[in-house]
Amino acid sequence: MSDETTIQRPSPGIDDLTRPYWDSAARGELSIQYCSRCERFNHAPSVLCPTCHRSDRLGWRAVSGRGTVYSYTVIHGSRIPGFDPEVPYLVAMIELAEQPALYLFANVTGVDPHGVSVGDAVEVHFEDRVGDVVLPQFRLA
Amino acid sequence: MAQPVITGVGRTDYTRKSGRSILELAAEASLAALADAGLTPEDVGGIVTFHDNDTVQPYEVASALGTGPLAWSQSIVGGGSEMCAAIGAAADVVASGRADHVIMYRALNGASGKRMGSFGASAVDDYRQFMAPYGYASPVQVAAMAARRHMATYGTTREQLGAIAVTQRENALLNPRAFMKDKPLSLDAYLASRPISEPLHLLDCCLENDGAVAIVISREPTGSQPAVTISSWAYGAGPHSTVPYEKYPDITAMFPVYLRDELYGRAGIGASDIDVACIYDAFTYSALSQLEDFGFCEKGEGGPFAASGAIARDGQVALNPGGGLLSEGYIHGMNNVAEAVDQLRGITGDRQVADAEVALVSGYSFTRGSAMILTKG
Repeated sequence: MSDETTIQRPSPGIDDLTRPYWDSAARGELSIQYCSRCERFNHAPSVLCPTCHRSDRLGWRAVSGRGTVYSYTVIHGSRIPGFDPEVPYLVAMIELAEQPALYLFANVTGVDPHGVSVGDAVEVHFEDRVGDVVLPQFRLA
Repeated sequence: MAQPVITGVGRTDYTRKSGRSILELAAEASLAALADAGLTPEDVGGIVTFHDNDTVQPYEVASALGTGPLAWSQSIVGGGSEMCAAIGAAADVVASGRADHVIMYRALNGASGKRMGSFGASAVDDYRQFMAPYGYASPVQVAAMAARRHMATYGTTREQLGAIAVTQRENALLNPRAFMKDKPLSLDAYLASRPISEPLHLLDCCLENDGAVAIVISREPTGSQPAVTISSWAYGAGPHSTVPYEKYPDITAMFPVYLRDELYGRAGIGASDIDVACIYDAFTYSALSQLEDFGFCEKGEGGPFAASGAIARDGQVALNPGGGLLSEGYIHGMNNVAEAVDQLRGITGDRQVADAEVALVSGYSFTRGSAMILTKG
């Protein structure tokens, strides 16, 4: 995604819960919230583990950044500021390799948006930023 | 408890630019609904609404109308998911004797005022911080993600989604109130409409309108109109049922799987008993997935089912015979409630579904939603 837009894309409203995710991305690492009691990853991060519904064993753990495209949409017009120069662009729901049904959303960059299919292998990169924040993005692996 | 009834229906015109305040729209629809029921504002003991963009509050409507003292009022924050639950709560209020008559309304300047899916340019909080910076946030984009997965899993096609758009447009051509009443739609024209968030295109998306619809829910029929009974209602939500559903077990499964047993059980019916399905069609795909999840066909068979003609007015179940949110108008689902009532009253003229006795109405927000069964008499 280009950073040359005159209207900036929305940036993440980073808070105490989500700061480790964005700090990790700034270091070039994808980290996902992890409950060591349940031994399960959880994204988006939440104040309570969605499995044991407790918070005391929640932490963060680096993942490989590899995954597959579970679904995607190619967007041609958006009411979200800053995206008009980007259309058409692709948003994918990516299933991370570490755990079944562990999903996150990102753009798949460096490819024609119509050149992506469900099941494609993807890997994370950290070349995109909005303001000072590094946005984890994916490309075909 | 007594079986509560819908005794009145009132609507404003559906327009692109009402030029009026939301309060004026709410008051006009509410007064029309009361007149339809043969009631006056003094008879009203409760008011309820739901909203997730613009609205006017029940106490303002009560003041404008000059109702009696209210025994009950609720203003529920939420989208279409809350609609039938709000009507159901009103039904429970009248059935329990707290009030004789309750007004339920939804009023919005949805085209000229605040539009759905609009975002500011600043930082985005909460779970949306993992969506909006990627250009992913609006309802159509979330629906498109589920639709693409449905296509990949079950082989659903755009032509099958188009059967829903075309069928509902055919219905709208017979509805003098419908926004699209003068615009026939072919499958080719549907397929050629511009992409919005693929696989969804413009004609997969509902209209955006200004306007209001109100209904009156009463403990007993007022005798003014043929009676329509609220036979059951239910609310359903799956686990982790917050947008963007990235923890949800199956993004192609919608809320009906969580409420249909309760809904059908309380009414003593099954899907095969339903004549009219006014299900919340924010997008063609929303209707397709609900047809499956309400049990009109097997999971994954919604595409072939829609394309078979089963959803026509003379088919297995008449899907949104007034045109629905896709082709009649978008009053946040309330116009589908009004159509269901009119079908059961038997007053819809050329688009009347023959022998319509049981109607399903739903409101939707993907994995959360509510629904009700209305019956004639």
